[in-house]
Amino acid sequence: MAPDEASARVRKLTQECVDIVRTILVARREMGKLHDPSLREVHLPRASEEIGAILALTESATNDIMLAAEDMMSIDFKNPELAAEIVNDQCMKIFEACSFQDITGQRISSVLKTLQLVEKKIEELEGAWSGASSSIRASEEVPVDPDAALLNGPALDGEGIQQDDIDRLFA
Amino acid sequence: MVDMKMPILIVDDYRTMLRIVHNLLAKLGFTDIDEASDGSQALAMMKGRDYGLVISDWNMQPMTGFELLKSVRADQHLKATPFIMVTAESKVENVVAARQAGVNNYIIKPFSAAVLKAKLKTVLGEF
Repeated sequence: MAPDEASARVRKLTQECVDIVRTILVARREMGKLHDPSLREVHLPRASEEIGAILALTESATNDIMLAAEDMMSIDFKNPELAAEIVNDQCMKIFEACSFQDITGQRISSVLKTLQLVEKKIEELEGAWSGASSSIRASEEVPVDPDAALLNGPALDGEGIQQDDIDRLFA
Repeated sequence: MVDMKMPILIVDDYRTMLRIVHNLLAKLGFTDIDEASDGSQALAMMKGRDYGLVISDWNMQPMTGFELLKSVRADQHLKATPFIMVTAESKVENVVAARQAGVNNYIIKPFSAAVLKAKLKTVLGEF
């Protein structure tokens, strides 16, 4: 290989390396804009806790419903009035237990929001890596609605206040 | 004494919850119970009928129970309607905000028939 040709190839390879490094640096800078610690530190742990709470609540509700059914199965129907009263009471317990559906629905909605956030971040990262840097922007600020801050959904264990505390506030 | 025939409006976006509260109220002896699936439907119903009590969830779309409460309290004709919030929202700031907006009582979900009855007695009197 002639010295000039070798020198040209070295220059070309060097330039390609520089271009690669530049691309990596740009992608890294753009991805840095997407860094959102709240996803790992807040949203994902919260979603995990919500799923745990769903499992506990459905187990508890199932247990309550089965207990009510077992109580009805053991009724002595020789006393119809007492039997009717027990059936009525146990049916009410079943209704109360079924309220788990509302709570789990709200918890699942909360988990779904986290999944949508993860999906959005992945899309943004894909955009950053494919060089579509012009379309990248950090998560947009949403106008704050003061009432929206009060929509937190069901509390986890240890959060929120209990009915007794509320009763004292209204006493 | 409480008029057990007075119309009661329950508001929740979960059909299951409407059925639960409806059945609990029926079990307690109330006979005239209407249902709405969000605040705006409830408000429209309240403008067409005088309700003796509203029992509302908080977290609904498009109009939340909190917005319904504020609308009711801002309406000259509706503002005296007893209003109980039944919700999973159990943060102190929620309870305080609801209280400041004029809610008569506040029940945390999930709740029992006994708790509902106790709050009804607090708001409506003995029955």
